[in-house]
Amino acid sequence: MKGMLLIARLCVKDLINEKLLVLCALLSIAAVGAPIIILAGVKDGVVTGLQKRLIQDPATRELKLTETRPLDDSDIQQIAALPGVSFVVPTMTQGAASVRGSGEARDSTGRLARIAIDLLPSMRGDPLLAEIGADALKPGEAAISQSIATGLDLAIGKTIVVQINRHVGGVDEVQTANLRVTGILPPRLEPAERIYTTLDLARDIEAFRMGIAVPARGWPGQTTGLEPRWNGAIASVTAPLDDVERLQAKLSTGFAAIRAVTPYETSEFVAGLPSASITELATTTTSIVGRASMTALAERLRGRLVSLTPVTRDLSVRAAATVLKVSTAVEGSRQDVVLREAKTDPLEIPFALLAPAAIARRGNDLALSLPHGLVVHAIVVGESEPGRVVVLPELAGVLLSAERSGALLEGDRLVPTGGPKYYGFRLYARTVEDVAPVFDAMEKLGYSVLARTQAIERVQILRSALNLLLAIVGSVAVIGGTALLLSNFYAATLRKTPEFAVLALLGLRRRDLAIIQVVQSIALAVGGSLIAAGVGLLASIAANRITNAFMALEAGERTIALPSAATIGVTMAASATAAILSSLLASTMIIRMDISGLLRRE
Amino acid sequence: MTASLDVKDLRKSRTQAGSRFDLVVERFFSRPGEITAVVGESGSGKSTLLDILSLIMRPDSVATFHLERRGGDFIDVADLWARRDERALLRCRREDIGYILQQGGLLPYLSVRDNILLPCAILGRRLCNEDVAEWASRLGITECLHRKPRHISGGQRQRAALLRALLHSPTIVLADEPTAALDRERGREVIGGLQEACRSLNLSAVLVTHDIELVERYSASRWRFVPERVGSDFIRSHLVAD
Repeated sequence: MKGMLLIARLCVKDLINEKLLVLCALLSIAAVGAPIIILAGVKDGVVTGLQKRLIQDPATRELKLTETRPLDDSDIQQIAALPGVSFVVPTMTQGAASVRGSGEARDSTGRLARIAIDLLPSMRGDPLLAEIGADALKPGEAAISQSIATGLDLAIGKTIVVQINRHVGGVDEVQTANLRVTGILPPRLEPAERIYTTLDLARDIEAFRMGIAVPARGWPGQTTGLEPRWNGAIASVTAPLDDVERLQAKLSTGFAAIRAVTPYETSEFVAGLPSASITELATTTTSIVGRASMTALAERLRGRLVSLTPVTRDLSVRAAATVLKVSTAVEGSRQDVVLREAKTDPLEIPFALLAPAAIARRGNDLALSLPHGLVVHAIVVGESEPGRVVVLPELAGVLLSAERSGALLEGDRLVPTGGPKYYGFRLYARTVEDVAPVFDAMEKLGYSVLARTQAIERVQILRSALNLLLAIVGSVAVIGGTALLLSNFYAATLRKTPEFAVLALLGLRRRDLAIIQVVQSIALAVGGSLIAAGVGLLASIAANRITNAFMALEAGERTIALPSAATIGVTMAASATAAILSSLLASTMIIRMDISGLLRRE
Repeated sequence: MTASLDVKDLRKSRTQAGSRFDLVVERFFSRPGEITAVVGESGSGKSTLLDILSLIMRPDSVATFHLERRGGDFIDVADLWARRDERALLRCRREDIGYILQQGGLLPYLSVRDNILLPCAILGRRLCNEDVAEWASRLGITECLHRKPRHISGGQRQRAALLRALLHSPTIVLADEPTAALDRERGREVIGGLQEACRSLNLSAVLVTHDIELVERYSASRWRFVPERVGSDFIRSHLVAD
């Protein structure tokens, strides 16, 4: 023990005596270690931050439906039961419903500011709400995006007024719902202007927009009959439109695109259009539009328009065991005249059609089945081409509305069905790792979905690349550091061997002298590592302060992670190992030294 | 009077740069309380002899190598070499031998006091401050005790080295040209101090030097190397009593 104390004392005294050289050695080791610590911090900070964001960000776990598809509760339950699914909520449309919202902000004229917002349903377990720590929405509550909160001057506890518009029977109607804001979603979670409400409210809003009364909310409206809606229109124009005109024509009409169509393609949608007509097809994406959109489009094409015929792009009916596409009659055409003369008006719309001769004859009552189960009867008043029936646009629109809203015929009236009818969903996997399996399972069920698997892969690639970089730099640094220590100890041992010879002469064992070298080298390595850790820490803090100023980092996030105890420990262990390896050379020199010759050199 | 150190029939052969050198010591001894001087030309084998006497070099052969310990016991060093008892040799070097190097051999990172106490520290002995102070005073280095070796003069350094060689109470002190770097006056002070220590501590000292004046003035017995040229590159050096 006394011997070890003496060795320790000699080590310390020697190091203190050569403080300048020791300082240089410490700084050299720190110069090798600090960049590795900083690089490790960058890897941990950037990659772990990105990974953490990906893991935390519900959007990473979201799978989006790419198509409109009628769904019922059993479909939603089937999806919810898939392994790896953490949350699914049905939506009334494929995307969000458009409403208008107002809060406490006022416009330049002093009136309440109103902005167009998207409305989406939410349910218990919604990861978006869980992310902000909000409870499940109760009736009369809503969570809004930060952009809405900013635009309408709203905060938690305040009330947002949601305004729902519909156009029924040529009349614009408005209803409102007052909702208390219980959560505000940051841009990271919801960049768009969106409001999340209960599923019941979203369902009622959609029903109201479809022309159906919602007595529970006191929203008046028809309980019989449906507002006709279409998903396209054929415009006969005097001259073809150019791209700019098409762009201008579709603005604020509800149509997503307008394009030129050939006479053959036109005949797929409408009947009775002169063959020499110049036609344009206006289409929606997945939504359906009402009369207001038709009126708006006609207004846009004023001066160029010959006729505008609403069409149902996706509607087909089953009659006499045959699937028939539904075409609409062009206003003023022979077909239009024939159909309008039929006096069958349970819904003030002639339930009349032109059918292929092989299906039914003039005067027959033809039962038409819609995909969701609705069966309506129409009188055959004429003959159509094989594979299609021709009806008035109003009837086609009502049938499409009925199909979309799940309406059924009661007596001679179309009324909404009891069960909900959905056209999309919001779906989240439980973890990032579950996204791919859920994606595959959804594909197997026949759903076309999108997922952010590429983003996850990119982070994994980035992490691998930085790991490789760290390994390369680390290896170079360890080799360089070992070489540095080696040269340092070699030079120091050469310089100090006469002193070691004196100590050997005085009776210290060579083994003890070798230990002095090893202890000193470890002390230098550990000291250098601590300085490196300190430099790394200061550099990280400085870099974080600079980058935090212009990077949108979450609380606790850092561009460069501060050196962890593990990082410092590994650096110290690596340095100490390199030091021990280096000091072995010095120790060998001491063990083999010629004391006699060195004493004369002293 | 019995000898502290008694060596008979010692031989050591060394080869350097193609030249052979043989050291032959038929008899060598050193008595307690006296300085035994060894003189010889450069390369005559003085350092080789000191290395063997200080046990850091092993002779090729030796009939007798007795070292008297304090208390009257003898250590048969020849037997220790024969048995390769490194532990006992190390202990002997630590306890029974003091050494003064040409330049003092003080460690630059220790104070003069710590240097002086180093042999005791290696032995695990604690020396009282009075002993250190007394000997430092006798040798005139009291003021230097807390300085580093580089901050004291050559004479002070050699006196400190002398004190380091004495304080752990060895049987014999080996001095390898301790005055070579000093002027005559400082040299006298150092060897005078050695003589005083030998007398008062009943030590035996072997002084290797070129300085005949010092030899004649302070040594009780004198030995010299007599070189014998055996061939063009072969010298045999005999240590004989003068």
